[in-house]
Amino acid sequence: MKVYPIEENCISCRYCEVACTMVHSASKDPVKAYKLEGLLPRATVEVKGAVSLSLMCRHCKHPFCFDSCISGAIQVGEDGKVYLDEERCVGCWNCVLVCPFGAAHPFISDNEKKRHSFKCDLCGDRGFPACVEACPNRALVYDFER
Amino acid sequence: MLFKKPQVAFYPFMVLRDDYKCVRCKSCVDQCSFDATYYDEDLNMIMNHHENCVNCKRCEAFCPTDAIKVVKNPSTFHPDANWTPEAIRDIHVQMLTGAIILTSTGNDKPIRNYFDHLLLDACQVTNPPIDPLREPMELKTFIGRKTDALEFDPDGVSIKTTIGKQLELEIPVLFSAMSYGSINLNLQKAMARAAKEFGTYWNTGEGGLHRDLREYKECTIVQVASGRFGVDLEYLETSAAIEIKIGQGAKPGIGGHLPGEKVNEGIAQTRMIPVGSDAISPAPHHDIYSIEDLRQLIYALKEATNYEKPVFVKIAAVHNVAAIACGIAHAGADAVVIDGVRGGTGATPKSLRDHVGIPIELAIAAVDDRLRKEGLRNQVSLIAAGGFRSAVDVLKAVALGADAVYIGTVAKLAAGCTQCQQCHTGRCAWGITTNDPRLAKRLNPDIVAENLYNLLRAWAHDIKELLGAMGINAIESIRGNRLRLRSWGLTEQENKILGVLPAGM
Amino acid sequence: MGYVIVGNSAAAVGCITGIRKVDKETPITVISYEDFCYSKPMIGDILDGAPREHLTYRDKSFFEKNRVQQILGHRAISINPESKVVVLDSNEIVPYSKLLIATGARPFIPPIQGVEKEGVFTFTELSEAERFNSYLTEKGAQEVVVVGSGFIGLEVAYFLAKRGLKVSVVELLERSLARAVDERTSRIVESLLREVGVKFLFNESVSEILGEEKVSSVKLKSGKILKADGVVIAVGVRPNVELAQTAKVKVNKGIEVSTKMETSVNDIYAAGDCIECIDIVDNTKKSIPLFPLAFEQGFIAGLNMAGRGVDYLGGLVLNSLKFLPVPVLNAGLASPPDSSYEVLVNDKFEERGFYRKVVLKEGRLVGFVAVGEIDRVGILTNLIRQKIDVSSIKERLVELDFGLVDLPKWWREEKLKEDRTAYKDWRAVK
Repeated sequence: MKVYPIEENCISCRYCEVACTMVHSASKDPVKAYKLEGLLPRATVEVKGAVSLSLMCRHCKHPFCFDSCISGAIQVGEDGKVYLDEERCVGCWNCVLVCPFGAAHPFISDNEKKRHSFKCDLCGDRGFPACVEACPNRALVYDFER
Repeated sequence: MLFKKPQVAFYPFMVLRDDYKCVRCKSCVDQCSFDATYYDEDLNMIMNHHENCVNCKRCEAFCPTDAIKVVKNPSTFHPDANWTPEAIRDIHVQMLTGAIILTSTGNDKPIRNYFDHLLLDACQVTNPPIDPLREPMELKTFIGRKTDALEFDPDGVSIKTTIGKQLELEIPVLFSAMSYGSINLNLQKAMARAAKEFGTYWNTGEGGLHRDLREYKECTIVQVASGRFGVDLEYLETSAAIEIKIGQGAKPGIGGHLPGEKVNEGIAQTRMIPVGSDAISPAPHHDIYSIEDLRQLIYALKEATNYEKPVFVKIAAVHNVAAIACGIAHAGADAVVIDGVRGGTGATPKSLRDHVGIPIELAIAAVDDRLRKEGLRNQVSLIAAGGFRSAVDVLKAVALGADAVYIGTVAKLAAGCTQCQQCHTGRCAWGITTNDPRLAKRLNPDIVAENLYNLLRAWAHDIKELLGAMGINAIESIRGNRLRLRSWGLTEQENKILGVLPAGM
Repeated sequence: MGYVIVGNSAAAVGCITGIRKVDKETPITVISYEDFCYSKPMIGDILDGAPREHLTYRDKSFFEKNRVQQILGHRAISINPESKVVVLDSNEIVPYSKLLIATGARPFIPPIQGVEKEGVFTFTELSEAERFNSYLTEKGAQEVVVVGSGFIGLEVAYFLAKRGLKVSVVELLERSLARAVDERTSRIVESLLREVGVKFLFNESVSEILGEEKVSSVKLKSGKILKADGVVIAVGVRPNVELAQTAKVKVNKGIEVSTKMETSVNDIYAAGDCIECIDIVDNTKKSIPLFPLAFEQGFIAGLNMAGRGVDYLGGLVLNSLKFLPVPVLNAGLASPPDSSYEVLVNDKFEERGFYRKVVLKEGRLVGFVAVGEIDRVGILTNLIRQKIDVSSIKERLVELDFGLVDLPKWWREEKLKEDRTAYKDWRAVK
């Protein structure tokens, strides 16, 4: 299962981005997530003219990020999902460099103490991807592989 | 304001932002289609051009942290009952542009809404009410020419008389004419789908029928307006009924107007006009200069479609609407559609929208009365349009004499419309009255079709409750039944025109 | 008889992963002279105080779960391809049905007089790094000379300077990272390193290492003398091909392999720093000793060894400078060799903290450098890999918001809607 973007329906309202940031925060509050915790979304809304879509980790059949991870922080589960352990990640940025979708994002905290990558984790703890739930125009679908 | 005329500073609306709650997600920047919101990279702040804000409230609705409120500019002109801010601003606009002021939606002036002065009856002890959850309630409505008398077979049971083609509605509500061009094709798709699912009809308006909608033939009413856009034999065939549009309530006496900015490939193809050209329908049909000409057109259309489709005639409700309606009945139409002063439109000169036409409530009563007096009431169905807001408005309209009601603005509201009166610009931020690809996708036909179906379902239930309360189990029994209405706060003359008694009597 | 892998780093782990995707049963044996499976690119962290465990790349449970027997602390001496065995330094014979040579590369040590003195280290192996670290502490070292300004040399210099040592970097060419990035990027990196106290000497080389048994100073080509309590040689690596040559495997710039990662000898495969591979940017064969390539090559070798025929897509240069506060990423060719290449630049480093440059040839991206803002540059890397024609969007390539919406719709439909993300789906497009 993964999240599929439907670019025909995306209206670039960015609810997916805000919902993602909010559910991955400690406070579960959108304002605090951005302002106090300094978090960023794992989904990226791209806009060009009339075309827009929300992009997140595709959990590829051949994940180049997994190949390039020097610390073993990225692993592929039995379910085919690609997991990134943020604690184990050392911030080498190889995954950022090789992901064809730009789905692995770098995070450097303000004091530069924390450096690691992050990406869509299909909201494992939550049970259902927040971005899909938040989308007001049915532009994100949580579906089995087509 | 710098480099602008001083009058621009008197803009009517402002965007207020709680900057702390603003997380710079830029949703509002993307959503605004009127150049009123932008992101400043250097300041890392979202900023506004308040003078461009039209109060469409798209940004307010979409801000994920509820940080935005779009409000009236608290800075006002000196209070003056005659020189209202609107009157002053209209002068400014005309002096700066030299152009007629165009606007859209329906009349926003406080012309008396008679529905708000009408009250329905209810049954109590001697004539008990009916419980709609336990007894069947019939809302089914047939639109079309009815017979003068019934002729029976010798057995006294079978009916010899045949009846012309009827439209069968599950609820006395249809979706009003809104042309492809004035509105997003997606809204037409949503209305068609909801109409098909629920069991009613939708109207193409004067913009032709897009090929994607041909599958909804069984519930489509096609319109033949003065510009004859998209009218060919195939168009007439792909319908359940044909409506000749003489006029509409929002702008009686002039034809439809689609500004060139809104005419893209799809619209050009459907209307059979060049891309980017203004689509202006002439004020009269240039082949209808008398009632006989109208009769000729009605029968030409019937002939062309093998008498299989009912033909309606739509007029605006003006001073002598009752007389015109009788003429239309004599001309052979199967239904008369009257559109009141509060009807909506995608583009019209403001003066015509606000100052021409009469309220639909009075028109329904007048037309119903006159048709009955002339013995014509069974020959035409009466459909009313123009600003119906709720199920109870619908029921009151039926009580005043209408067979069914067209809803237009309600469909737009179900798609998110906030009545900001900018439909004519083609920049509708809700994607309702535009076909600009970037904006049109904001109206998801699946979602809006569901909304419209829900709306009709809610209204049907509401009407059933009201009928049940009145001890009535079929809509037919309330049709033209003015005795079940009472008025309050109206003059004797108004009561007389409406044919209702004042409450208390 | 099963699979045997000589090596225990990226290529080896990739191979185990590849084999087990197809064949879950047949045992695998790993032979390594090192004592645990660690991440070579993370060695620098030792200088930053990290414990050895921090460098674990795959732990014991990985090998157990994948039914891999590890023979650690022993070196493979020779291979007999006729009898299909590997001979170890302990005289143990290890038979194989399919063999992977993943012997990696060793540091190149230039013939400098005095280079064998105590206190001269290289920096490609954990044990060497740990010894260097202890040596500095025991000696109370204050000044260190680093020879070479590549990724390894600069990382060592940075961490030592942060610890308070005086560090001088001696570089043969006129700028640092000369082979990897362009001049502007070199200068940015150098200024950041100078901020923590690192000194650079360009167009220089070490002609002699001076001192008794232990190094005390170095003499440069120009005649200058630098005090040195320790010296690190970081001027590149050479593929370890000796073991392969015992099996008469064909060797060129590294071990030669087919697109299925097989060598010239049947059933012997090779992957990682020890091989030569095609550089898809200019279609020439090179040794590209980089971590992401090693794993991928090992993985493909593993699939092929287990019977699933998969063609390797080819390699490209991928570099990441991670230890600075300002990240630097590069893929492909950063400095074009002649004017037949087109270069576009977006230089806002002073005002906004980022710099981006792309290199194009005949409308296709062949390389880029991103400094500061690096989010989503993987999209550019893939454009190099798939050789997509970007002539109509080339100005967009250097913008921070360049994204998949800039690519043609068919690409998004294929990759997103149809979910084509298998290895072969990333071939160059026709």
